[in-house]
Amino acid sequence: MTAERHKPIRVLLVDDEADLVDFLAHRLLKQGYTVSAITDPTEALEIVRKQIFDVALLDLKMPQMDGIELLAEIHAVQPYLEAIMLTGHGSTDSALAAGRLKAFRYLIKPYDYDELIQQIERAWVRREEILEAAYNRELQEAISPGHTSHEILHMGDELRRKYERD
Amino acid sequence: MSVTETRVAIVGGGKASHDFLRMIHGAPRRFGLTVVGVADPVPDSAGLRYAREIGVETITSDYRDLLNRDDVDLIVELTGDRHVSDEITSALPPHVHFVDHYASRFFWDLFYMIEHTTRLRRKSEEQLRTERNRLQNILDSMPFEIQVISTDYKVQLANRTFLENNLLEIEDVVGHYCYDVEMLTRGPCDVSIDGCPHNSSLKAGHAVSTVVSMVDDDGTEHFASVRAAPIRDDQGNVLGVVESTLDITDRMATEGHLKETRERLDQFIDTAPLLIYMTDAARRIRVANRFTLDSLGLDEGQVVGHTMRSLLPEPAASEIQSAERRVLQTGQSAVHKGAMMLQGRDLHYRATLFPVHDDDEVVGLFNMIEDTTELTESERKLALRSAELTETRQLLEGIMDNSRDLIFLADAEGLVISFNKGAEQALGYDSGEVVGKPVSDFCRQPVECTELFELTIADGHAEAYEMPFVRRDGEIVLCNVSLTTIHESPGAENEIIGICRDITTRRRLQDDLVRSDRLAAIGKMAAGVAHEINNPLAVMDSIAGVLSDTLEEEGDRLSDENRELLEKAASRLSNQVKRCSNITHGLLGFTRKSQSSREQVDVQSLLEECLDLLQSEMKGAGVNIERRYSPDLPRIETAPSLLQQILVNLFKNACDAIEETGRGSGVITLSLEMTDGMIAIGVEDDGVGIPSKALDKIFDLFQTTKPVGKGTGLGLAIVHDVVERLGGEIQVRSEEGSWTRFTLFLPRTAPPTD
Repeated sequence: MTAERHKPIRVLLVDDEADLVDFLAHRLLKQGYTVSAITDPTEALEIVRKQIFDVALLDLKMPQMDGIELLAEIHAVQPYLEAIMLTGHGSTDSALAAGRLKAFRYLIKPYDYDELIQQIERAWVRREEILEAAYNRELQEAISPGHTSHEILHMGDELRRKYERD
Repeated sequence: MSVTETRVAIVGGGKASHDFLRMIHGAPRRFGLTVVGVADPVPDSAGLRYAREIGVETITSDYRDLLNRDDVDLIVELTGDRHVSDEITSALPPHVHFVDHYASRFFWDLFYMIEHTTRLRRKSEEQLRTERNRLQNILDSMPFEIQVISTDYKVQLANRTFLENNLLEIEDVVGHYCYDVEMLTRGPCDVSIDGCPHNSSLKAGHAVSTVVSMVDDDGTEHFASVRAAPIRDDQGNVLGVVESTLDITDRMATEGHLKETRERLDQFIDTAPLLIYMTDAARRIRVANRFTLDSLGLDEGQVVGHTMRSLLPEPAASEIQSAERRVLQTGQSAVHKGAMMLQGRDLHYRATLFPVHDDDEVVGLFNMIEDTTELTESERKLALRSAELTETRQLLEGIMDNSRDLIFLADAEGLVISFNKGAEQALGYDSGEVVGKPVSDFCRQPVECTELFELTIADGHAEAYEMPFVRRDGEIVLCNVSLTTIHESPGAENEIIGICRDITTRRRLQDDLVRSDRLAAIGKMAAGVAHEINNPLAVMDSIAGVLSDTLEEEGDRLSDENRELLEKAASRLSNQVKRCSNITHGLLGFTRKSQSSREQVDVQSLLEECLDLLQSEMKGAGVNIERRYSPDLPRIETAPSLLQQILVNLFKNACDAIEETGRGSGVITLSLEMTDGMIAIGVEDDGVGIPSKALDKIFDLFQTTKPVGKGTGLGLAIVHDVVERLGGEIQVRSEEGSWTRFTLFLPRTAPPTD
């Protein structure tokens, strides 16, 4: 089952390299995504609490906070967000840590732009699939004896909102 | 009364009469005289008184009565009165003889003289007899055999000991010839016969002592000490010889032993490396042996009479003093150990002190000071040495036989004498083939080998840390060589034992270790650098992307020329970023984990895929591929992407090498086969080859022989790294200007990665 996209992919880009954030954001916007480009991880955490994102592009190594730590905090707020870690070095340790934290992928800079786009798209699909599965599971639980039809409709609305099924 | 007796009447009763009467009366027989009467007018005269005592008639009235008596044969007048003498002469009857006082006096003197001499002789004879008896007794009681032999060999005297020892009676001996008595010879012993003391002393004229040996009837040998001394008379004439003989067989044995023992003891005491001295009760040295004097560097005068305390340095002096005191006080022996500086030498000693007793009193002491400095050391060494010798021999034999080292024995000229099993195995020669040949024959650098031998002869030992030996098959065996001279026996020609350790493997491992250490360090640094570069590269790539995006969008607003220029610039920028990222990603590839999952891989198919990837490059370089694949090769479990990375690298290198020849064409020969359970992939090109000095470092990071700007110096380093991660091995052989061959060995199953 492949999800059909009718809304632009919401991308969160966090990298301490201002030039990269600047130009990459520019290209991603051209790509048709909505992009929040931020150089300060703490600022990113604030935005994550207000705004929902599909995919996050996170630099692994930043002076204020490393990408793995940041991802953990983002996941606490938005568990269904898929992350692509961007790193300048291929440390096995951080790659493994990224794996443990369920980062969707990690790419070594300078990444191939086309590959990046491909990975963003795949990450979105994966997120859609996970949300869909979760929505279906909870909805089945809701449609059970003891609930009135009104109650079921109401819960369905809530679940659709929760799992962005609208 | 005898008829021969003369009856005498004496006229006169004075002193002479008394003496005459006494003499006659004392020995009447001797004189043949009988005094019949004595006449004198004085009745109290001495003669009359004595006459009355002895019962001789006395006449006081008239002496003339005596003249007419029949019983008087002789009248002796002793008055000294001439008138009386004349009266008697005139009235003397014819049958009566008369002696007047003159004649009497004469006779008397004469008689008295004779009487005196006789008495003296009798007395001396008596003395002689007594003395002779005493002498005989003494001689008889002596333990010696004593004979007195005259100059004509007749035995004049023999003592009881002689008679008893020889079972003889005195009659058998005295008056017989000595040679008959002793049954030695038929005649007198020749002077020349060894051991006739009689002859020897006669000849010498003085006492002679000899020891003679005699064999008994039962065969036991007896020793006798014989002393012969000539006997002389007052004039010095030799009368005979006194021989005394003593059986000293037992004493000989004891004495001989004692003498020997005593001599040895004396010798020992004097030469023993011990300080031995004796003191009196006041600790003053009375005797000290030679070693004591030598050790102290003093002469006897400086030692005797002094105390040891005054001669030794402190603290030994005080310690020995207190030991001496203790021995003198307690009467018990003592042992004391210590150390001192004696004549500039550090001396460890042990002093053993004994008291010297006289009855119950301690009158002094003996001290024996041993130098234990070297004693203990040398004893220990000796014990060790004998144990060592046995062990060493066994050990050496074991080592020679079992050692994996190359051990050889060579003479001073470096010719092999023997060769152990280790050497046979390492070099591939039988020891029979090499004995007598110079060791340098087996060295790649014979001159250096010969020099090493010369150095060994000069210094006794020499080492070479890496000496290449040549195996029979031409392979190099790198050895750590240690040469040492040995002496089979003193004065023998030097022989040299060589112990060579094959360090080929160790060296390779060391090299690998060094290489991987270096690689790790460089890799770490490179990764750091790469990371720092990767970020700006990512920025540049984004910029290039933005540029092309913008051109795509609104490029038609520009002139064609400018648009094309910008498009070209954006594209080149992007390409250059890719080139940079190839380098940095290559560097980071050392630790990259992606694309390394294991799969069952058909190596032959993989090879072909790689060739496809590089088709265009190969065509450009005019490369033809030759394939030599063994059939039916098994699949192996490995990481195809990594293997691909390796192969692509090798192909690219091969193409470059061919291109560099400038010929415009070349051949890459690919081979596949199984060797020792591993798959061997060969990639050989007929390109420019690799200089031998570069061959050693070919797998090092940043080593490139390619023109500047062409090679990154990363390729083969990564290849080596990846091969190792796949549990394989890679070898390279090359001849500069001709060919290069890489051979990749891969296991059937790659080890799991970390």
